Amino acid sequence: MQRTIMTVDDSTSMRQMVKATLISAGYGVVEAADGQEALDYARENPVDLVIADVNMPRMDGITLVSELRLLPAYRLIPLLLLTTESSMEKKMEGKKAGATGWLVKPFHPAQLLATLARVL
Amino acid sequence: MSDLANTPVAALLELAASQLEVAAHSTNSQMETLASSIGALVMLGAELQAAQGAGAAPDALARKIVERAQTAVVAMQFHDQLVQRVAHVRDVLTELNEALQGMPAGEVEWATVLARIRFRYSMEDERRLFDRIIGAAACPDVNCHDSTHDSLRGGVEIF
Repeated sequence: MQRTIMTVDDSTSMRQMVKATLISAGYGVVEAADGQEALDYARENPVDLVIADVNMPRMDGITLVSELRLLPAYRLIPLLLLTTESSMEKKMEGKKAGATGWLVKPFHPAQLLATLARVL
Repeated sequence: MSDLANTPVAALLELAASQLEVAAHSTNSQMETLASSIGALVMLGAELQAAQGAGAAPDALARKIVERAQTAVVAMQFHDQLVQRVAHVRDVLTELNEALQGMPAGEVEWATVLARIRFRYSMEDERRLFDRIIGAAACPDVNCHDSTHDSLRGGVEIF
């Protein structure tokens, strides 16, 4: 059965790069342009994994992770943050919010797919 | 301008200029990689067509195409980084403008302003540039942290 991954980023080009990488590996992909849009989608639809940027308008990625962890369907789902943020403080904020992992942009497709294989 | 003596205003303007220089250099470099990858993909596509026409197994060519496409995906992310770098230059200039609004430069709490600026930086190389030009000692606030444990680009950490 095909697994569905939600990519959340306010940059269209980033979403396209993530989407192309995921589709090439056989995953289904849904997109959201910010944390609020992702949360609205997640409340109605289950996905198997979420890859979210940190700095986004309306709702940032760390808040999104916190909110998703409050939803029963997302309590155990892997939530990855993919961001240019590389500071230890931000990373610890993400971990405390309930993120499964932290990836620093730019991502390499093979590395992203290997990470997904580890956490799914 | 004598009002600005003994303030970090000149250093902040130098920082903004240096950030733009880094952004331009980084973008050029990634654009070259992207252009090179696209050129190689075009050539490999032509080779693949020729090999298929000759009935040859194109496994090695397929691998090369995947590798080049992956390199292009990494380089293509230049846009996201460029937007963030330029936004951070805007932040420096905005903070500087706000700090100097209605207040002599000598009375501004520069340590707080510098801490706010550095805290906004999301990229490890931006913080290193800040520390090199402004000096870590000029920014003693808790937000001006030790960046030796920060992640490098492309790093992955599973919690």
